[in-house]
Amino acid sequence: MKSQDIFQVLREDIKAAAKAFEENDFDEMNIFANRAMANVIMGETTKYVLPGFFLKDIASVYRILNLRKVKAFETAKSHGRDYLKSLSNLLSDFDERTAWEEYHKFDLRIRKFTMSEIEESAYGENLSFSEGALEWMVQYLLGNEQTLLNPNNRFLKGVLNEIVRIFKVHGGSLRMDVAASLIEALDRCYEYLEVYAESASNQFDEKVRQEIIPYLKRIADVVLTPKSDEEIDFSAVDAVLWELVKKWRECFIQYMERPRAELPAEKAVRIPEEAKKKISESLTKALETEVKLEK
Amino acid sequence: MELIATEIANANPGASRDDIVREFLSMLENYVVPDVLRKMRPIPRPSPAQLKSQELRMKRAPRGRRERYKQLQYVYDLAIQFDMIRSQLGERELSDATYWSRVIEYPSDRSTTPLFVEEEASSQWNGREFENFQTDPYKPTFRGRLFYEPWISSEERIVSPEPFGFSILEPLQGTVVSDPVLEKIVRNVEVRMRRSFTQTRTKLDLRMLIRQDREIGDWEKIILSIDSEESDFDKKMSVWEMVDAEVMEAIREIEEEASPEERPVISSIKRKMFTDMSFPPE
Repeated sequence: MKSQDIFQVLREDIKAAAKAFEENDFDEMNIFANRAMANVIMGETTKYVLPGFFLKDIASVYRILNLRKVKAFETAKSHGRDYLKSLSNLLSDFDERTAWEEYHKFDLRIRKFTMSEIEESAYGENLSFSEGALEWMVQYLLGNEQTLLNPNNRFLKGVLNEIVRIFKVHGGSLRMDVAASLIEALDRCYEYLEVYAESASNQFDEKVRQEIIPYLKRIADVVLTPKSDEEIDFSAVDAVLWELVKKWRECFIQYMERPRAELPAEKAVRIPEEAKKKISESLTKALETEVKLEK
Repeated sequence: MELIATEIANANPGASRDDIVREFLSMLENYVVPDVLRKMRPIPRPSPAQLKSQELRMKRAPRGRRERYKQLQYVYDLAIQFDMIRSQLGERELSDATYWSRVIEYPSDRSTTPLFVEEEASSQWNGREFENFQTDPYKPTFRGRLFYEPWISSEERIVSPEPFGFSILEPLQGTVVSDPVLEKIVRNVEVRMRRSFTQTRTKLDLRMLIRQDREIGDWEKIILSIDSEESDFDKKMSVWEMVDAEVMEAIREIEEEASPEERPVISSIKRKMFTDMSFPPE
């Protein structure tokens, strides 16, 4: 596959995602982001995986903000627009460090929009705590890798949840964004291993040992070896990300979308069960009175 | 009903009135009404003979009987709609041709079968036009689109565009991203506007933008442009005053929490911030 063809298609995927963003259609934006990744894995340029990966994250951030009816949604969108603009500019001279730095800048700016009012008023930035927490979490992941052999675990999601929460509330470094991105990519692959947990031959253990656990060490290396953001080896980071995204998209080709356990949708308003019962009763009574014939 | 509404509002202190109404309606449509209809006893339906006999007697009958005839027709209509909706709730689609052809071919099923009449261009069948009905009402010809009176719509509610809109136009958008103090102010203005006007019923469009004068290089103002569909002049003026007060309050709030370094920047933004209401040309 010609690199220039892939690049051309990538530009179009980004353009489509930006349009979906403008129309607040974040589900569609997510689809275009997936496409951007699915198309670039047919080539060889590892860094081209970044735009699609970041766009998917952005689609998910704005989808949640939109669902929560965040009051400053338009101000939050200004940051998204600015990032999408920088992504388009980046394509003319694609530098992977700049791509990560721009994404990190966006992530830092948008985090306060994802916080609740109470969180925003109570917590301040604490990068030193975040750094310590990141190292602890990555070490914890490495030290408890056997948990991943239990098909019912949610270990990667749990680690990711903690890292994202700490970043949101206390801020974080680019290293933290790199760690969260790689663990997320690994989790997407891991989700597909459920097909083996369900199969009669039960190859699940073997697959986890071969295809997931080795990445824990590689992720820990690229995240923990550098002692500051400046020391991050982005070629190594992108190489891991590329492999994981490639695996994930290949899994999609083979197994398509996997049904997943869904959490109940968060509703803005909760109708108490008692109120539902009362309404049902009064409506039934009203309808029965309505159709009652005179004797 | 008021008590129930209060109960819901108490359980959701942070929810706006619109949110509560929306969720209440959606719950009625999706949970309560289907549940009630499923559980309700079938409506006793008058027999065809009863109806025909009532129809023939009606013209000479005293008023009381006429009323009873009307009531029979009403219940008959209601039973038809009721059966129709119940069959839909049983997950039979209106488009399920196999089901409906069976219904038409085997009228013995009719005790639980909704009855359909073809939709006419100019009129709909109802009990009051019974006399004009040429064919047997229990075996209607199945030619066109099925029609029923949707006293409960099964279709998704049409979502009308929100009456309230807030947008930040370029180049202000770019400035907001790069200037943290301006961002705080714009964000707070947006939050306050949404809090105050989201429930507006009259269309209200607010746009924040930068206005510049090419002749005067450094002349620059941040405008909150108000476009209200309010036709009454006084009401329009009152919307303007409210928006203006909210903007001032938003800036004041930020000023209160600002660091000493941020204060001069806020004052300078405050001097540049204006609201502007558009009026239709005379």
